[in-house]
Amino acid sequence: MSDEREILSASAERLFADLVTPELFTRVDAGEWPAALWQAVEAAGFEQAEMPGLGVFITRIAGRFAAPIPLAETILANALLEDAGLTVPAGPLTFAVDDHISIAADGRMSGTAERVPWARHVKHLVVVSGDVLALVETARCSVEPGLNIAGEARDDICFDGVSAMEMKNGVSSSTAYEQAALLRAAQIAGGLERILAMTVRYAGERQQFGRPIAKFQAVQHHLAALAGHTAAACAAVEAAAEAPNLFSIAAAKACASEAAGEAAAIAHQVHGAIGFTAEHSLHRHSKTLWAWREEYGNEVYWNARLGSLIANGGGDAVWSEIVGSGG
Amino acid sequence: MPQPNADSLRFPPPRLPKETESLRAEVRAFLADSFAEQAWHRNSDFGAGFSPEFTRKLAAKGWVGMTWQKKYGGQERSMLERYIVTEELLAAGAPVFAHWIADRQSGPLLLRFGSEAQCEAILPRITAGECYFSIGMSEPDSGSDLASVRTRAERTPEGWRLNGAKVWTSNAHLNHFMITLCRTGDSGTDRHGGLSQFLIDLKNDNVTINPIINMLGGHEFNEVVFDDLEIPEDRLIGHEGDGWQQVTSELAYERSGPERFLSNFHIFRALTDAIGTSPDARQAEGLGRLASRLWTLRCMSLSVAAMLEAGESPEVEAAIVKELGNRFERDVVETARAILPLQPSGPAGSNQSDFAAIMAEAILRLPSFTLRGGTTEIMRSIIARGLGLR
Repeated sequence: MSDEREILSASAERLFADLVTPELFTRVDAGEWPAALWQAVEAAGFEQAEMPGLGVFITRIAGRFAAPIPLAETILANALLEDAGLTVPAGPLTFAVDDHISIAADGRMSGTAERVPWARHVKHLVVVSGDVLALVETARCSVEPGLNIAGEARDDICFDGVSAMEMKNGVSSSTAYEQAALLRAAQIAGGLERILAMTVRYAGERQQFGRPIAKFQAVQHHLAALAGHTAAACAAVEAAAEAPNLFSIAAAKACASEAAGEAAAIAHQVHGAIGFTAEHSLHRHSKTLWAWREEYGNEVYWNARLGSLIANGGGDAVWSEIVGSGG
Repeated sequence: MPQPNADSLRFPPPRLPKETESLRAEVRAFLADSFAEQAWHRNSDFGAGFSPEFTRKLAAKGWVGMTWQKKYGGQERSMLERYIVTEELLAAGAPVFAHWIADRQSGPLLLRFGSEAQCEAILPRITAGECYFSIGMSEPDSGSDLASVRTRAERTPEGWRLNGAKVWTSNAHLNHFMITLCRTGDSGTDRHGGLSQFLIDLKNDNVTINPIINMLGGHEFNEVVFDDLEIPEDRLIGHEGDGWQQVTSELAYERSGPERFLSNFHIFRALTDAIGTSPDARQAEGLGRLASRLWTLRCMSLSVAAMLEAGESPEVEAAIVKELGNRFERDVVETARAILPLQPSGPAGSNQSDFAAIMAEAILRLPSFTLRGGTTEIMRSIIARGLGLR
């Protein structure tokens, strides 16, 4: 890790550790916007992190804390607007990538984007449909609130009769979708690091049969498997951020999404009944893993896309495709 | 944020230097020519094909012992360049077993701990593709518990006298040398003391080599028996009593290389061809899952190689790669069964497709992958220790 990243990592860890508390989650669950957390993130400039490298890096750290703010979304919306040469509005942003939304040449829009992250809390959102990008004021749209399994806002947004504030042609909705998948994979990687650390610590503290359960080989092998899933997801995300393309991002999101389910199951098994309580914080992290693994394509979706690519190339090309997609 | 031993999970993204691309292209061209000429049976398991002819051709290109000093016939290339050569060899399913052990671990062990005379006598023969090595670690009563070896070496006025037996010694009947781990003194409280490594000349020393036929009906394994074998003083490798440190450093070379996840790559390749360009949803998902896992494993393995090159000792990372890699090798077979049903038949069967035949061989070889080079259970224990649990 570079010195610059080490400093950033330490300050981000401190910021989130101080502000993402059980009390904050209680307030967010009740519908409150975590204004102080967002202000601190903006003051630190995390939402300005450039894609893919730094954006993925900071998103993974936020994932370790399941920070209930649209940080990944703002990072990507900022990047999309900047790439399109449009002005970036202040405050938190989100985005919807959906080719079914129609954006006419005069800016008039129609259609509904489903499960847009944190939409109710942001003033502006970026819509990418086909090769058109539009900047929209959320207040002009109708917002149907919804939640993912972790209680994060995922709202349906109806654009019928809304006009884009600004728009730009020549973008790519598939690239935007891939970047969204990469950021969710980074959040998963962070979540996995967190539950690995929690589970290792708990196994060392919890005593049964007169010794810490970490001393039982069956438990050790569970934790070794958990470490393997975590390591694979983190390595894939880092490598994809280094060389982002359809292949590497598909592999990273597939790998992270699959690891999420396996790892959450082990973490709960090792924690036993206490991990199943509302009081213990494990569920914050297992729930976000179960939510994020489905968002922007789960492992079945991305593996199937990769598989079509592989089948198309034929057996002789498999190896060059693996080698040519990073590393 | 509690982060116990986060260091055990460091896999910095690999960056292969640009200039390695021409080496890769050169290796691919060589392999294409060699396949056209020799038409070897494609199998990506490093232990599947033994061909002195192929090894000599590879050595003529300078790709056996390629990281070693020029005075021993090496090319002084980097570990990452060696990585590229080995992964290309395995991906092509080339017959690499003759030189594999000498190139991967015996030569590096001699370079690190051997005497100048030992290096001068042996390394140039390895880099010429003429000298092959066996591993002498396991014994009838010492498998995963390597520190319990009972083969004894006693000092004599002229050197050493060995008594005992080694098992699962691959290709002892074909190879020239074996590096054998023997007890030479008291084990001490940590059980790791009193061990030493010796060079055994399999062609000229008075050893008995008994074949052990494997479940495929093949002869790779042997039992090697030492019955009052007298060897001269200069066969000791490194220092008397340092055997444990030497052997564990030798094991580090063999944990995380591409041979720990590519062994069934030839099945993945053939499966892709057998499915064709219009896969159904399940076939696409199956092929894609293999691709995503393989891509990830290669990134992890390359990352470990880069750390080794930088002089670090990523023991836990290497164990993670081997554990996940061996699981992937089984996934290849299981995925193939699931998305392209067939009846695997004996290699001699005539009523079968080529794909059914290579599947049959792969199914039968599979149980050995999670055993060789340290079992999956040992890998998990190493990972658990890295997590601070033991």
